[in-house]
Amino acid sequence: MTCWRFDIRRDLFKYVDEALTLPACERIERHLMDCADCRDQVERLRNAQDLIAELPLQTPEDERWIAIRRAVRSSPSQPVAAPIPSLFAKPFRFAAVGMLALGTVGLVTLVTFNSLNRESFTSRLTAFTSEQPREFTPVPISRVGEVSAPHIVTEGYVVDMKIDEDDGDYTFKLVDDKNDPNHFVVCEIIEPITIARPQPGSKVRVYGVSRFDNKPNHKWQEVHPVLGIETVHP
Amino acid sequence: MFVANRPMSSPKRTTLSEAELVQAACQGEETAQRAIFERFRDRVYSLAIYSLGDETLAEDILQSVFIKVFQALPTFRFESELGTWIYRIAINECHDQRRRAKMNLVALESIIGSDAEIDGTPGLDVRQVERERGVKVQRAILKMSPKLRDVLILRYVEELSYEEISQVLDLSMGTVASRLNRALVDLERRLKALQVTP
Repeated sequence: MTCWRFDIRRDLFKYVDEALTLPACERIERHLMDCADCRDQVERLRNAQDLIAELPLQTPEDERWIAIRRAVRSSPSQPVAAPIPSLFAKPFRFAAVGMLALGTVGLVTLVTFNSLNRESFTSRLTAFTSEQPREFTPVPISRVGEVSAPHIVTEGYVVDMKIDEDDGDYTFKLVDDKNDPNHFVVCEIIEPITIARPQPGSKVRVYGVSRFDNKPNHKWQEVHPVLGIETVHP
Repeated sequence: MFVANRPMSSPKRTTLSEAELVQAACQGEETAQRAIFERFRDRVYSLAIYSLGDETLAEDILQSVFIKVFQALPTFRFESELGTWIYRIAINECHDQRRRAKMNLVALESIIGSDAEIDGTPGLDVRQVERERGVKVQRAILKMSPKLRDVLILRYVEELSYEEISQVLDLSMGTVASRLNRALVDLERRLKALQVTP
């Protein structure tokens, strides 16, 4: 293309895509009357536009609806975001029952999680379980890989926070001991789940889905996606 | 009676507004969830298949997108269109899939054949020519960078406005226009090399 009217050439796409104002269109069209190069370029852009616009919306052969329903039924709604009003009502309706269960749950958690920071963890855990309709299996960081339950809650210090430049996902490591970075789980906050990012160095409790990342350069245990975060110590 | 009038919404008439559908779906009503699924199923699937070039992967994306949609629906605050929100999830899933699989043309060729296999030959009927032309266009799109590919699919296949694309991709409208310009020029160059014309 040899036309030197860069101001015109820059707007040829918008002209083809009908994204210019009427005066701008008229300016382009006046130029096109005298410029074969730009007319040729407009023709090419229109051809490309026509060809891609011919691509139809497609319908999947297997829409996977049954699998979707099954997964949604067996997984929790978000414990993080404020639920809709009708869901709000349930925990309060069962508050009395929850209070009665508190002692039992507290006893179970004390026995089960002897390797964690027990006092604060168990008391907060029991509070959480008494309010939430979903079950998250409590597990210390060092044993995340040993549990088969997909939904877990674990607790530790926030280190190595990163943002994925491609998709904006937010990851951090959760460690038992800030001075021992070798024992960790990677926690990933993904779109569209909106969770406030924890402070670096703070102690938090993370609720989410446990999985093992088997990529060659990873090979680590993850909480992915993170479904909720509670701050234990800022 | 709610009548959808935006490109991202279904042209079908429905007795429930989008807000009512979302609320019912949050409460676990399968008919509402199914209605949301049907409204966006083909759009999400088409985005995935034109972005990844693989039917099975696109079905996987469809499945994972709607699982995430229904799991996260209680967090949806109507700060954007439901469609925009679902497209964002779908785009992110496609990005994740590309990262996981390091998608390249080897996978594509295993599915739609090599250039030699899909070259038109004299005597083909019109529908077959159109089909093969579509495959070549799809091939050209898949060879583009993901950033240009996404914006092109959202604009010309999904028929989103600049504003809707800017919301889905979290870009300014100026950036959307600039990427579309580069994408269309790039596509034209690739199609010219393949001697593809409308």
